[in-house]
Amino acid sequence: MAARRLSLGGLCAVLAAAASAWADEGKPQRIASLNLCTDQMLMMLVEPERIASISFLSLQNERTPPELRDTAAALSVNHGLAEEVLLQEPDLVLAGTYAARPAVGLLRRLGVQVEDFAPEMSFDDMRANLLRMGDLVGERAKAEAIIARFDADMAALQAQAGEKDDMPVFADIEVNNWLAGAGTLSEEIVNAGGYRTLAETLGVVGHQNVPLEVLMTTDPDLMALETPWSDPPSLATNGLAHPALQRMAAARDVIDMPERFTICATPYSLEGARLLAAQRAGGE
Amino acid sequence: MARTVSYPLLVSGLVVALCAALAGSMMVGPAAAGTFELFNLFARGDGDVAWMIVREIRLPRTILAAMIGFTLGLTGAALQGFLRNPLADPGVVGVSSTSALGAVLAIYTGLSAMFALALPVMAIAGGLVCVVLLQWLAGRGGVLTLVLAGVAISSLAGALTSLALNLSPNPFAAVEIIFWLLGSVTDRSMDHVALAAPFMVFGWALIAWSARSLDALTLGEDSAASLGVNLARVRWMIVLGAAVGVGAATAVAGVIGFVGLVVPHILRPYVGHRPSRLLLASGLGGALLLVAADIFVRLVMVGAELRLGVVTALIGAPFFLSLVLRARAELEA
Amino acid sequence: MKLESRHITVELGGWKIVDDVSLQVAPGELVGLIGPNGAGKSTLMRAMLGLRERAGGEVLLDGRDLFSMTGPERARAVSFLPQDRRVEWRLRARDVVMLGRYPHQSGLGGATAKDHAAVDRALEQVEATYLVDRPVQVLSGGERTRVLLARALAVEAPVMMADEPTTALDPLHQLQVMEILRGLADAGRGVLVVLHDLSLAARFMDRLVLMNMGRAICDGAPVDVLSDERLAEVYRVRALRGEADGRTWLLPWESLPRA
Repeated sequence: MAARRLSLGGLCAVLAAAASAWADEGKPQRIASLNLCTDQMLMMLVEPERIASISFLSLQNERTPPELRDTAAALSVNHGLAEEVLLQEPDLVLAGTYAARPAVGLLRRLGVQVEDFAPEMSFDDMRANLLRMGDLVGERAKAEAIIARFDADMAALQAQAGEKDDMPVFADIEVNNWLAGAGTLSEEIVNAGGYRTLAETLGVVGHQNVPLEVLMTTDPDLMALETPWSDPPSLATNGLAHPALQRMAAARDVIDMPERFTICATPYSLEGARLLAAQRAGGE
Repeated sequence: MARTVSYPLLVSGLVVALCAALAGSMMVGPAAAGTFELFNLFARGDGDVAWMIVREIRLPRTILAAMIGFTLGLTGAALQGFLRNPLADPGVVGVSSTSALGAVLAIYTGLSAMFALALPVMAIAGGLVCVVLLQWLAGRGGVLTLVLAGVAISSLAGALTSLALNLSPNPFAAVEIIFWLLGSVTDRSMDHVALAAPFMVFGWALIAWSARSLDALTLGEDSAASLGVNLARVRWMIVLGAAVGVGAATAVAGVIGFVGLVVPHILRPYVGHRPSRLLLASGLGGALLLVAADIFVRLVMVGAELRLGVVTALIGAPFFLSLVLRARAELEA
Repeated sequence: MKLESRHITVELGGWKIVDDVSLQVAPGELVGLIGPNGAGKSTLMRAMLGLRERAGGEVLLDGRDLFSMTGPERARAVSFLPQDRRVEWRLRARDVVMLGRYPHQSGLGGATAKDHAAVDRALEQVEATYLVDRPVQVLSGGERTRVLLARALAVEAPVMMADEPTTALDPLHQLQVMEILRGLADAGRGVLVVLHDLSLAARFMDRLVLMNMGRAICDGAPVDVLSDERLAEVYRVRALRGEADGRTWLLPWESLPRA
């Protein structure tokens, strides 16, 4: 019984594959992605049937946009190990420039096509990566459409945000007192939402860990102290519960700013800017 | 010939130095924040913020550094006196590592989030397991047996700590191995003080109770017993005191090694080598060392803040080596 | 105070290494506990002090059970000089002798004038006053034994036990230690000494208890205990004897073949 159902399922899969192979001739049909951000772009660009596997990180809701979670849940996953990826017989492997490097080297030596994508530090990086991936997977038009819609949304938000000098200050304090400052994706999102980052006012470029005592001496208009990683806890996430920080937050407006908006640059990241814009509109 | 300073003079000297260090620790901020920024805040009229920094950030770290230093110095001196072994130190014999394991299990399973006392209690239980194991592995052995048993227990506890942290689904857990191996009091809060301080004080009391017996043990167990020392009771006092004090200290600050080794060794000649007098002196010396080291990590900013456990290890490890060399020389002599 | 042990038995792995031994030490008496290696002398002494678990028997001090007393009470009644002469840290000689006052002190009180006086007396008795400021570690064997003996004397207990106090000492120090113990008995204390040296036993003791294979086989005056037959039977030695200063002296002279 079980064997019959399995063979039936197998037959269906073969038929479906044959059909799509005929439809998408020349396009990669079994794409594996080893990196959270390439996972997300891939899921936006191609239909699930053409995805051999995505990284296991995409199964964590804390990191994945709600719009992609159902797709991710139905896909096979990998853990960045060469052997398991090989067994999935991919015809194209997408990797981040910083992750799973030993596996990437091994896969290349074994003749698998591996394409590296640098992490997006800005929405410009996102546009470039999306177009490049569109070319690689044969979905250039889809990539362009996504970017066009994103640009329109971004322009609307920016029009609403106004002049930078008038923006209130938003302190998004991440685990271990990390702040994202000038030249980061977070800054673009926060600015699009009509706020300046606290890090900007402190002259922080890039990401930097700032002593608690320094944070105490600042006076932001809005704070975010939430982390999705508090259960089970860690020292780092418990650190956000430090009485000094909590007392600071108690005297101010506080917003819940999920981390997933800033991990990878995708059009979904604009949701973070919309949250901030709504907060600012509500506050005024 | 003997470098004996009068005992009251030594103790009051240590107290004065400790008070100065405590005051310094309240005034000095991290180098990145401007070491003496506090005074500017007061000058600018930002008194509220300044007080908050002092009360919520510097006070807890200062109290913890002092109390943990006292605990480690006192416990080191007590273990050395009890085991009549100059290499006995809560870190060397493995009590700190197993306490850290207990604390890690309490935090990363979420147990301490439900029940705050689970943190010190689990850490103390970890320390007790180590002491019981030591009695079993090296109960009657010499200097080397104890150290070897301690190395074995430390390695095992360290491996299990890493395993527990790697198994945690929290993405930050894995990088926190470093905190548990090389501790720190940075950004600890008064909550941590409230959690650990009562246990540490209880540990001190247990050890102080057996102070005089340590002197009698200088002559060996038979002489001590013939002088009316209740050996079984002394053993339990010291063992429990060490586990409770070091467990509570490790639960909130991770493993800070070598304080209990270095401080008693330096101060021993100044108290005429008497184990009972060494206790208070070592406690004060340990507190002084740790508060001073914690000021040092704030002043010397190398990218991120230096870890307290790194500083004590840098001071202590060469010291430990010299003691091992000396022990070898004595064995060969 | 009169020390009396009754039917002491100590077992080790099913063997009775001390088997039903009774003995007594009256005030003013210097009693030697002798016997060949492995006879159970040290074990008996440690059992009498409660340092070793007994399988049976009791120890009475003027009729009162020694083990019903508190630790300090017992320590004030019976002082002990063990065989082990190690001192773990570089304590000054005076601090070592002061440890003898441990059972008289309590809590955080520290040493009283009475304690200091007792320490001074003990140091004078062993002629070690000049050593007070030296670390015990740097003393010679004889000096160290005298300091440790002073430690036991400083307890000022009515009864004293010493386990082989003359081992590894030169003749001068052996004689000095025995003279001190003799003086202690003459001053009214009861003293029990484990001894290997039959010459010293014959020379200084009021009474000898001879042990062999865990049992006390003879108890009496040295002349009676150390008869030629017993020396041959228990020690397998022949001894020379003579008279000097009104006492019998004895010198183990040659070993005897196995009977």
